[in-house]
Amino acid sequence: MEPQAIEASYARWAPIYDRTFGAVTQAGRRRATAAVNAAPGEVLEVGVGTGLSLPLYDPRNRVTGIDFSAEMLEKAQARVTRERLSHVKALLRMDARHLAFADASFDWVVALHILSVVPEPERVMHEIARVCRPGGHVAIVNHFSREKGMMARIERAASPLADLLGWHPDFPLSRILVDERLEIVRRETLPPLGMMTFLLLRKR
Amino acid sequence: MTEANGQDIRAGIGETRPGTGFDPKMLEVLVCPLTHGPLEYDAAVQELISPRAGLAFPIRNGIPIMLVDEARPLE
Repeated sequence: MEPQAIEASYARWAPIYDRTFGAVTQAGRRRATAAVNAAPGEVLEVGVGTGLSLPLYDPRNRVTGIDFSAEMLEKAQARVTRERLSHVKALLRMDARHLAFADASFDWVVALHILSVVPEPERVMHEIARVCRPGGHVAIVNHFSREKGMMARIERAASPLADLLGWHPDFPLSRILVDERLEIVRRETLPPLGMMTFLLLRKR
Repeated sequence: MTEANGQDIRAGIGETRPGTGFDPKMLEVLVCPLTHGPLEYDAAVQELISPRAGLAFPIRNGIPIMLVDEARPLE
């Protein structure tokens, strides 16, 4: 998907995002933040969006959020102020392919429902691995395409609509397992319908 | 929201509230997205300067814009 298409899609969706896509992805946010909260630390959330996950982090974390969309970040900032989320230390506008963080800056890097909509997810994964400290973790929630069966056929049929939906149904897990510094330590399917997958990776 | 942010920016270092205003402590982990070199914070004009890249990244309403396309080239 082209960056311009993504920005246009987000700008169009920002006003109603929380009540639509936001509502059906809550299980993933809860699962990922529960993992983080079990070992609080310096957290980077890539694709923080409107900040739906921010209230779910234990206040012992120090959370930095980045997003490419200015509209989404404004909403996230308003949420931080409104809900007094003092554990959120910064929100920044960035391209996830060119993170403006030093190597090994974070104990956790979190990417929720974002990797299938960014351009060049492989480059994003290399950047995530770079800024995660050795022994730190990466928590990912995404929909990954099934290889066979009815759902696989439906997903393939819907894939030309990716730019319109701002969501890519035809996205294989292999596209994010590209950095040998990251090893899978957990893999779970999440409700509803097992559509979303939670992945916990560890930086070697 | 704009009014509150304006107050935070004028309040300067040490007076920033979460999510509004730029906390200079971020410079411990923040680097230039192009060179990965260090950044300098110009509080007066709300910019993050990358001397090595010759770019100034703007901070708008407390949100640093770390995009090369949005950065101001230094003279």
